[in-house]
Amino acid sequence: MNSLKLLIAIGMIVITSNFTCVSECSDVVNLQNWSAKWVNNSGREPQIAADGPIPKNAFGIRLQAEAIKTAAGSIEASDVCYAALSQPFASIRLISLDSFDTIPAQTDISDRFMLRYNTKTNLEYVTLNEAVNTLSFFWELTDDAFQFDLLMVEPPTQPGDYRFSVQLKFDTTSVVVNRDTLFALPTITLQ
Amino acid sequence: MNTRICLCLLPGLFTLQTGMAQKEQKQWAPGLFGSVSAHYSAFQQPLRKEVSPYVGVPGKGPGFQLEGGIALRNHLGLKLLIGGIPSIDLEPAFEKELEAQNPGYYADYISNDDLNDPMDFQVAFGLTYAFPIKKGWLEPEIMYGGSQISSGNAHVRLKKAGNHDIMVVQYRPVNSPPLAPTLFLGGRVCRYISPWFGVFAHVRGMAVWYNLDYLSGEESAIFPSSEDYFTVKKTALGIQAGAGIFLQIGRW
Repeated sequence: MNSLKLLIAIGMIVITSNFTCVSECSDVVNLQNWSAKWVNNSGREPQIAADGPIPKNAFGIRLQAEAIKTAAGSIEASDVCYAALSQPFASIRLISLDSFDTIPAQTDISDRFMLRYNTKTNLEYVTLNEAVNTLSFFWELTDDAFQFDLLMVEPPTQPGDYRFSVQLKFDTTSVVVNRDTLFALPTITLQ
Repeated sequence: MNTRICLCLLPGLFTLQTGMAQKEQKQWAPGLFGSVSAHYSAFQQPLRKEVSPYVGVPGKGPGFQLEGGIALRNHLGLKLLIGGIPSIDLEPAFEKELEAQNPGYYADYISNDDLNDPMDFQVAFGLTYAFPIKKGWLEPEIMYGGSQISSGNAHVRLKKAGNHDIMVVQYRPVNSPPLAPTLFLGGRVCRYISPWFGVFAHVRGMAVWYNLDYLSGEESAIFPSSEDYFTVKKTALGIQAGAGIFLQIGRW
């Protein structure tokens, strides 16, 4: 009798022990303290590349901001959290500070970059025109950080040193929360 | 899942109460039987090279079973089996196969649903025959039933090494919930410890027939608009050995 009960108990423990619970949350956030890093997308996933050189066909930029919740409480690191921006992006633009190929200096080269849109159910690249909507509503947060990768899908034909700037603009009404930002990124060597 | 387990346990608990009333006898007699057992199973894996949304199939490892049945005076019997068999996650095998088929690409097979059950459900119904031996009996069996397979929407990411190129292939199962037809051939040796209670050991060979349909399309959308229909037909042989305790609920 006791053996049978023990067997039943062990069976139930084995079967039920592997269930996990992942909670989800969504919050309206403001963004501040922007920073940018180079990424190398040669491998399975984009990796931060502290210094160059980076293969030009795998070059990207990771933009990251601190996400500040507008409501009380904090974002738990263990949760899967999605952010809706209190003031959405109006535009994301990439500008080449130098001339290359047939591109003059100070030219908007946003159409050479795409947003890497990575979700649990899909992975796709999104144009920067579409990215303003993709990023503004329910973008997944990484801990307390709001970050995304812009990949240069049409790189310069020649290896060399390049300089880019990033311009982020937000749809603001009377109160400016997410401030427009302009980065002049350091020189990167593409090979 | 928990509801299913509770339902499975009810016959066993019932036998605990009713078995007490049996008269003293340690020889095989027709009647009602119930048993619970633990076992170890191993199955062939013919689906590991067939990338599909069917990722959890019978594998190798421990499991458990509940069985109940009736034995007639002519030694023939009917038996119902319900149990849990080990499940293997084919995702790593799928990724290895995709990378072999696409040199220079990184492959990630990603289930859109959480399919992490360590066990799959198995049910079968069949015939037995009892050969009485001293203080017990030998019982060959043939049963037919089904083995559960875990499936769900999934996608594969093929990322080219050295640049940004990606290809995403979506998969959707058509057989859902899939239950692969399974034939059981085996037997067990039972020995009484008391007139109503005993132990047994069993060995079984199993054949699992996979006949799985799925939709797949190479698009970066969650549900691609242009999908192709695929069918996988494979047979896996398995073997199982275990031991348990039985209760003779009724005797006539």
